[in-house]
Amino acid sequence: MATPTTTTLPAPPADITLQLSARLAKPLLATNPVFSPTTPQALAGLLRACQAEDPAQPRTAVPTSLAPWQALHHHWANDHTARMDSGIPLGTLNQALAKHGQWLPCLAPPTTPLYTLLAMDTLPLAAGLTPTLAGRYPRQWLLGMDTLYADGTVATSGGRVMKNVSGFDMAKLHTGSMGAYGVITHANLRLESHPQSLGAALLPVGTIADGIALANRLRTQHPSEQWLACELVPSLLTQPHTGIGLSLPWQLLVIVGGTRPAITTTLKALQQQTPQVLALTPAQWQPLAHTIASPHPLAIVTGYPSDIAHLSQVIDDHLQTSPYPLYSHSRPAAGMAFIRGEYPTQRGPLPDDWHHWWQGLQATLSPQYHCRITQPHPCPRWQTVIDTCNLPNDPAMLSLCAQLKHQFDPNHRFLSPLYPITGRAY
Amino acid sequence: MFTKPAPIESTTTALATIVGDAFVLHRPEALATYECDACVLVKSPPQWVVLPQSAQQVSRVIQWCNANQVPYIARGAGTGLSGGAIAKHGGVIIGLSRFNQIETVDTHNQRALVGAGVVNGHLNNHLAGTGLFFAPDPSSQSASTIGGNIAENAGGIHCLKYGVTVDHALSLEVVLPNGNIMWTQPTSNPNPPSPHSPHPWAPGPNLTGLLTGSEGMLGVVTRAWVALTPRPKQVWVALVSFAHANHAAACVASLMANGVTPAALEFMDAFTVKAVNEAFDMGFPEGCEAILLVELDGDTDSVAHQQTQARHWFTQHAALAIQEATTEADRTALWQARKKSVAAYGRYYPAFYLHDCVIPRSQLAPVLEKIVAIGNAHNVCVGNVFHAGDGNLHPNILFDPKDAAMVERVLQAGEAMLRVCLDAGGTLSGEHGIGLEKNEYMGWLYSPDDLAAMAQLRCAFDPNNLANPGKVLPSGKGCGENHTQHHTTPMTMDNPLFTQSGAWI
Ligand SMILES: Cc1cc2nc3c(=O)[nH]c(=O)nc-3n(C[C@H](O)[C@H](O)[C@H](O)COP(=O)(O)OP(=O)(O)OC[C@H]3O[C@@H](n4cnc5c(N)ncnc54)[C@H](O)[C@@H]3O)c2cc1C
Repeated sequence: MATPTTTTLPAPPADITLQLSARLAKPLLATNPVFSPTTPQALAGLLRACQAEDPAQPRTAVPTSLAPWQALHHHWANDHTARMDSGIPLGTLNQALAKHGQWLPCLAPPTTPLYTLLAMDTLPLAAGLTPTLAGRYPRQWLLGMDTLYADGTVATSGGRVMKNVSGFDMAKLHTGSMGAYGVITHANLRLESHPQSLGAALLPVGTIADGIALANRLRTQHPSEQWLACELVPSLLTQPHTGIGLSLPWQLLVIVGGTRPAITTTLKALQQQTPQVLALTPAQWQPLAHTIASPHPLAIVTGYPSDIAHLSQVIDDHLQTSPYPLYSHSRPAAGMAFIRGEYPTQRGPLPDDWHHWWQGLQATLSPQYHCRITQPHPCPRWQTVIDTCNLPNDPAMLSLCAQLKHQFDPNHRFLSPLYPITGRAY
Repeated sequence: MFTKPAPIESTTTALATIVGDAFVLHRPEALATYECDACVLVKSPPQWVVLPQSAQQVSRVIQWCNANQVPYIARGAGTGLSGGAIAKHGGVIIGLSRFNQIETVDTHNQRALVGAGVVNGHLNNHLAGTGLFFAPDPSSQSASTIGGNIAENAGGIHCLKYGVTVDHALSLEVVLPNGNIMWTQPTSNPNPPSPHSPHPWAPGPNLTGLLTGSEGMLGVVTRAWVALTPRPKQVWVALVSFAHANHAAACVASLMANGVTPAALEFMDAFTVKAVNEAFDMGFPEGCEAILLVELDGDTDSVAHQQTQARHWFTQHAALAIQEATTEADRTALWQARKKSVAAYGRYYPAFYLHDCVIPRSQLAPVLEKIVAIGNAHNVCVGNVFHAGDGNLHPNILFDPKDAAMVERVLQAGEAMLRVCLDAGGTLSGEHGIGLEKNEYMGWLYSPDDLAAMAQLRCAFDPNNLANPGKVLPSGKGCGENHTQHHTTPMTMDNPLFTQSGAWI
């Protein structure tokens, strides 16, 4: 079989894409293929202009970037809260918060816009071994937010206090929805004190089963609050990032936070479990963490902690048959596996072998394992989105989500990988 | 709205066909139990109470209500403090008490499948010996149900570290207002670990989170997968006395700012300290005007580390005395100081109005001062016992329900306290919900556009506006009323539904 052309898929500017009328979109696209409104008001104005348009007329999808919205408006350090624009990159935010010893506990790449984390709402790589503790999912960071709706209005929900049951929690409509119902413009977040220091180690293991068993042992024996991450990663990923030659094919990447003595004690305790433990420098573990925490995997397989060993093995076996360079890593405490790698460059319909491979994986997994494959890539310029409806196929849920879309975005101004868009004219 | 009353007899028969004769209540003496919840501000009996046993029965009741334009209200144990379970417009109360099964405890995946009517405390008793617990711990946990906790997004003493109910709700079986039965988190196959066991993540709106805290207005929860949390290995409690509320408030700020994350951090003000000491002779030191109860938990090393830090901050803020406990018996003894405060208030007045509002933690000292001043200005006694770590205030305004003038002053003082909290950047409720108690104050916090977005959400779920109508949103904020001017007519004694009989809690 000829090796297909591949490229690494660039992260889209943000995962909201507007669908505007051809007339409105033309001047925008003439100047820049990506629309970057400087303020939420600019975007609101455009959305209001769209209101007057006939929704039936031909429309063009306009990739919209929230990158200009990067301000940190307030950091109430004594309250562990902050208010910011939704486009602020994680790195910029954490750098500012660090002045007061605080952070948003997430190890995604520093360029990741906050908006993407909120819109995806996947368990971030600093969620520790007890994902149920408060503040683990991005939705739990949100104390309040402002949202721009399709009719151009901005509505606030929540506030800036730690507990709030005043009215419906609109944040839960938008987190995880990949921009389907509105654009988050501002966020009020709860923050955490940054641990005095972070430390990381690789624990090499021979097989996936050994890795998961070790992760489970650590999960039951060790304190949850010190453990930011415990991830099973393949050598093909760890080797280039860390520069360490590894004889075993899999490693558990462990990231802990705490005082320096506490970290040293933890790393020593790990050494007693697995003598080959390799302590990593920040220069070694950070790029590795950024890769496995990037919010745009090709697929997220969600299962259970109890069957993650088998699940990871089946995925790995299937990966051997892939015509594309793909790899997977697993988050045992959450029961999740991620598939990443390179993507065919061709625009338009994807090659058949790509489809067959994913269908094969789905077929292998679905009858046996209680899991679900989601291909979350939000950019509608890529064909997968057009083929995939990411909403679950429970008819009651589908009809509820249709109602939500109808209420908040009746003319489908916001493209989102949640909603099937096949058959529409663009 | 709801002007045409449904005929009693034919309705009783119709409902009995769905749930069985024995499980439809319609006689006034039976309905009296359901005319209010723990917020006895308002009383309004339903016309019927049904006690279904399955989601299918709930669905059929809701379909019947839709067909006949009859409102319905879900009810757990009726311990709600904001009037959420009150049948403001009459109709059918759907009691969830028969959904009392703990169906599955999956220790490996740290989750349990429970009926909505399971009492919070019963679940935790059931989990004894597993090393796991259900973390949300409202003080009502010996009576309140998991369904009620979910509907109110209940908090509790330990939610500072462990999070509120929404952080522990994984997936809900819910009967939607159109009668559809749905799990909020998708599943893909019915094999082990258990049927309908939810995936930890799925794309799409977070329906579990949306339903949690929605006060029964977006659907009726019948079963829930909830997360279980590993029990901490080590627990340490300190009861710290201060000569001034400001010292205690500053200590709270220092602890939290310096990375100490207590499992619980509770505050008792001067009035409460005095009341408890007088009633139970607790032996608090001379001159004690405020008490902090601080609980640290986790593994031995991290508790030891945080203990050292905590002691440092207690001393820095001029603590008068520090009592510490590590054994279960000693810890329970220290917690008595807080737990007995409600009983101690009873020596002053037979009733109290328990408020619930949240402020940014940094505003504790100035806001407390203002609350005391408001109490004085309105000539009412106010005791504050609250969750200081997350700024969740609970001013308890004591009163005699038979004294109408005093009741009026209590309501006015409460309203003034809410204003102060909102002015400090706070919110109307941290855990008791909005219900009927505070829905007319929502316009103080949110703009018409904000409320319109909430009304749109409600509309997407319940276009007929029959699921627990008249709660949360201010009057005039129903479906089809988006972007209209809202009204703020706070609850007063003039409200025909207002009743002053009985204690309020
Ligand atoms: C002494 C006392 C102490 C309290 N302490 C706390 C505390 O520390 N923290 C705290 O948060 N609260 C506290 N509360 C308030 C109350 O106990 C909680 O709000 C509790 O969660 C209500 O549960 P319930 O089963 O009694 O619900 P109910 O009072 O029966 O109902 C409350 C609301 O939930 C809705 N509802 C109930 N069940 C369902 C269901 N299955 N599906 C959909 N909607 C439903 C009802 O319609 C209503 O709107 C306290 C109350 C009392 C009386």
